[in-house]
Amino acid sequence: MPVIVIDESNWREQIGDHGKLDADHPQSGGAERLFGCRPRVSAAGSLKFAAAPTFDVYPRTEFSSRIKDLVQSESTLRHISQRAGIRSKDQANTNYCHANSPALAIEILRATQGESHVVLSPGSIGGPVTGYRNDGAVIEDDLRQIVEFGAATVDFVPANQVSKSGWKPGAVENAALHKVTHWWDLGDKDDQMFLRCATLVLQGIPVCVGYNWWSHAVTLTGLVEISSGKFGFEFRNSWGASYGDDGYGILAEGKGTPDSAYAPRQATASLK
Amino acid sequence: MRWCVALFCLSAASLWAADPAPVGSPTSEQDLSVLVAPKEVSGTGKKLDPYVFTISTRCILRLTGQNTGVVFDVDDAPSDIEIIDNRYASFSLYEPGLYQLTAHGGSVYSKVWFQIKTGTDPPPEPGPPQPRPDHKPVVGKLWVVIVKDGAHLTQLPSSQMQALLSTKIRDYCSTHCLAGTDGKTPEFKVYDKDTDVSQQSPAIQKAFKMAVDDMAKAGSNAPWLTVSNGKTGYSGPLPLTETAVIEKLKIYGGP
Repeated sequence: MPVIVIDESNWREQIGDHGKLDADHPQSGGAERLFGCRPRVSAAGSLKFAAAPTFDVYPRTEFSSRIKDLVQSESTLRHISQRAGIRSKDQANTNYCHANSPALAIEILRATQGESHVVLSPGSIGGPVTGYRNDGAVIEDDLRQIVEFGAATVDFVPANQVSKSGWKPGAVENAALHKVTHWWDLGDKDDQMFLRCATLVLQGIPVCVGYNWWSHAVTLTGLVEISSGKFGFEFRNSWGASYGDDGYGILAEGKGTPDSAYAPRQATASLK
Repeated sequence: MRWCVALFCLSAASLWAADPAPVGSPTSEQDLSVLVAPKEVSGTGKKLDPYVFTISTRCILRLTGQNTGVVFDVDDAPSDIEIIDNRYASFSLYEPGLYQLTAHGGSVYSKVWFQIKTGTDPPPEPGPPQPRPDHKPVVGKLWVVIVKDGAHLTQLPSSQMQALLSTKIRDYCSTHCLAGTDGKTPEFKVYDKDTDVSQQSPAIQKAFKMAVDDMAKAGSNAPWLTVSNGKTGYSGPLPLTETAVIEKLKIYGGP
């Protein structure tokens, strides 16, 4: 599959003319794609459940060697995801990118913790957040939902469920097994945002990010060196496995520096 | 059996006991550092008055040095030394006896003597988790818990960060750890130190508590490894490399 590298020269290809990508658009993965990530509203620190980052960032000079170490030992988040059997999410014709991103992040985080693999339902997050409408949201709303109620597996709520009619008995109890207890709110976009996100993915922490230019949320899973000294993020989209390379693409630093970013640090330690 | 952790502090103040330099080692003994023993340990570290441990025949001694580039070594001992970084090291001694510790620092070295005596083992309260009768090994016999401090990961060397994420370590644990209560997920966990593990198996809860407690006793922000096979185990700093971690696991889980 082709590797998609999004940069200043081609980013418009990711965006349709009318707020969506038609199914025949080369970047759509064969399905109509809607964009549902609204811009960050709050200033850093306003979210009581997501603490401001307290970690130091890696200097850029260490990026190359740290990337190399993780890749050579097959210990990137992509490797861990592959080993755990985590598949690309597909939001299909929903606006729930804001829910798909954290749902995928929790699955990855659970894999790093050694928990069993469960397929989490973005619909179990995005539904309550949007009042069970096919609507966009800010990522913070989804995080609050996950912190307070968790995310159910697709056994209880279908992946792209919008209305509540598809929720099976026990869904609420199941969701409570899949909360995230600690998030880092990486704050507003500034000249350190790229370094903060890069540091976290190099430490095995997936980052849920929103891009205003894209009106879209994706999950950062790694740092890559695009060319000597130029870096970008490997991300996993929620447009199915046919997007990019098994759902993965690369965002070069300029376009890849997110407008909002949240890093889940701890998922509920549960076996189910 | 009891794992014991004793702490030494090194300060760059005075000279250790003067002894001949080891063959092939630096020849100049200088003011490298001095061991300051914890209160419960008697002795001065001199050859005729060694530090004496009576707590157990099976001890993990942890050494902390302020000087960078200090390398510790134990002469003629069945020891298992791990250099955690340039500032401190941990090693295990499995037999009672009189040992000589050498700290090498560039062209200089220092020495100290200590004695391990057979003592009365304390109650086994914090010992390794025991298998439950209804929890039979499915894929192996190990419990492995790594505890990290998420706010301090940036300080870890790249190789140790890699060990935290290593798929090779996970592969080893997949075939050498007990299955969890779901019957399939290996009892291998990597948690932040303030994770709520109350929904985990009793064995994981116990191993996690041991790791957190030992980490706190050592005053360490470094990742901590606790591994047990139900009979014996290890609770100490996570070795620096993926290979060293796997070697450590093999001691208790086999090849």
